[in-house]
Amino acid sequence: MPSLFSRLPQYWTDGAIRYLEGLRNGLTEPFPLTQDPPPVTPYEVIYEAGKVRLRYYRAARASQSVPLLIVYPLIKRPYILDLLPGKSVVQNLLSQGIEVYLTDWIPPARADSWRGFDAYVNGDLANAVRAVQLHAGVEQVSLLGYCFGGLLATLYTALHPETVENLIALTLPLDMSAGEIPLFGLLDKLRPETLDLITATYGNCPAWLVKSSFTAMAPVHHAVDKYMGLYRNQDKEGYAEMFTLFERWMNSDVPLAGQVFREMTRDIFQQNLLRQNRLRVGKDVVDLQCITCPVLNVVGEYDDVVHPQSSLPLLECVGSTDKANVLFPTGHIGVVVSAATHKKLWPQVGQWLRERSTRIPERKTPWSSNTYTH
Amino acid sequence: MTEKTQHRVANLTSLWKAAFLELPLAGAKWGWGVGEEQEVTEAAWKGYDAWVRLANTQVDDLYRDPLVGELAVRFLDTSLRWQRFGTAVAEAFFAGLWPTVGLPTAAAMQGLTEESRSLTARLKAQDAHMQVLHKELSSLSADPPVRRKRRASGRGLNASLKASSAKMNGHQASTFPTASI
Repeated sequence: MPSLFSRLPQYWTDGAIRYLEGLRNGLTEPFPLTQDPPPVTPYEVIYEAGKVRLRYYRAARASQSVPLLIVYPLIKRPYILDLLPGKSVVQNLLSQGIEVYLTDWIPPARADSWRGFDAYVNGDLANAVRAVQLHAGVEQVSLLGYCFGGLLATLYTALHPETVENLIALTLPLDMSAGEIPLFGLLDKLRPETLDLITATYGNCPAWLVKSSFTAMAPVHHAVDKYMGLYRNQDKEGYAEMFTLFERWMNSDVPLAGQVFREMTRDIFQQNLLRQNRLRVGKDVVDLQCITCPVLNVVGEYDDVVHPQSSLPLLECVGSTDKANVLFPTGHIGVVVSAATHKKLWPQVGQWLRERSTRIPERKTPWSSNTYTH
Repeated sequence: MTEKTQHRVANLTSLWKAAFLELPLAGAKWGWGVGEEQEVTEAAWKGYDAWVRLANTQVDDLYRDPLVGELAVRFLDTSLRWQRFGTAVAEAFFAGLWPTVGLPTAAAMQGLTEESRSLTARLKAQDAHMQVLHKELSSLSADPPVRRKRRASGRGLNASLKASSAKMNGHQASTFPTASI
């Protein structure tokens, strides 16, 4: 086996190449979507307008539940949800007979810097839900939002509750008063003038700034530890392939529209307005009590990007009676790619969804306790 | 002692033990031929893991320091201001230079790009509309009443949705169900 010191320069060079390629893509306008790896699961694009492209994945067997719309974050490309066979959330849900739709957000150009929560939630997401309703012939859809996508899905459900059958929030950044993630302390210090300077200089929040923030969250991991992990696991089957693909995704940062960046930093991170039911989106103030559909809140116990304390208060805020937390022992990205989640968590999510679907005559069985741990 | 301090002490102890006790001992045993190389490797990785945990804690502490936060934000502020200044100077200088050598300015190029994008979008919308009309026409000849009823219910649908083009993995396809709704 080659020694660690002969391997490290190669790992670092490969890492630097991936980083620079990601940087180049993030600076290219329009963003080169063709750089995504080939999809694992075939899909159709059934709707495209504004800044959203809606993908439709057909279920492996006859659908037993209302269609599920996955709301992906506005950060990075969405192929992490369909990364490899056996590590694909999309495939896992399809195999359970759930029809899946996915929002593939088109990265904003400089001319899109005006886009805020209103444009994304009341515009693009509302249109995407409408497109699912038409395509599937249903009146309501289930929503699953991951991270920032969970925020968009939660805002949408609170503003348009009549169109949502079930809401699943995955690692939702809701309560920013928790203060458990040290880097968010830096975001607190960003002055309004600095936010204006960023958007005045670049129009949007540039991809490299988004990337730097993620790298700064775990500098030791990004500089050394992930390569040590690769060296230690190089004999494990599939590890190197997974590592390369995962790193490619980690470098797939896209710009964040200027207005949504400003609203996210000021209203959510600094003032915690959503938790206090004081966040304004368009003409409306978001009241989380308006969410009355069944809610499943999936939280990563070791999440170091969105701390569990930030996600867990969701159940206290919503007006639903059928609601549950699932605390799974995994991290922020492990929740969608780890073998354990694909074996235990996702079948559980699928079951929860099927039990609460109006298409099948199964009796809804409310979960006996509010929190499930593994 | 707080939980964080306890963790830090545990990591420090673990690093100290691995570096000054376990690793030298395993190395000596291996050197004398009574131990195995595996033991040395394990002791080294144990020390490394403790070091990583300790380094992560130090980084977190650094971020929690208000002075570091203040300095980072000031640095960002200053670099952004200088960048804007540099861009403004370059634009003012080159704006007059490019036309004299027969090259378009960045603003002119951006204008052309926007115009070309808007034309492409219009062309796509027209193309999608043509496809819908074509499908409508061909389905009118043999149209069972059930399907007609279904389509009637879809007439009130959003026009932009109906005009959307269908794509398969990013490529044009003709499976969008607008005509059959």
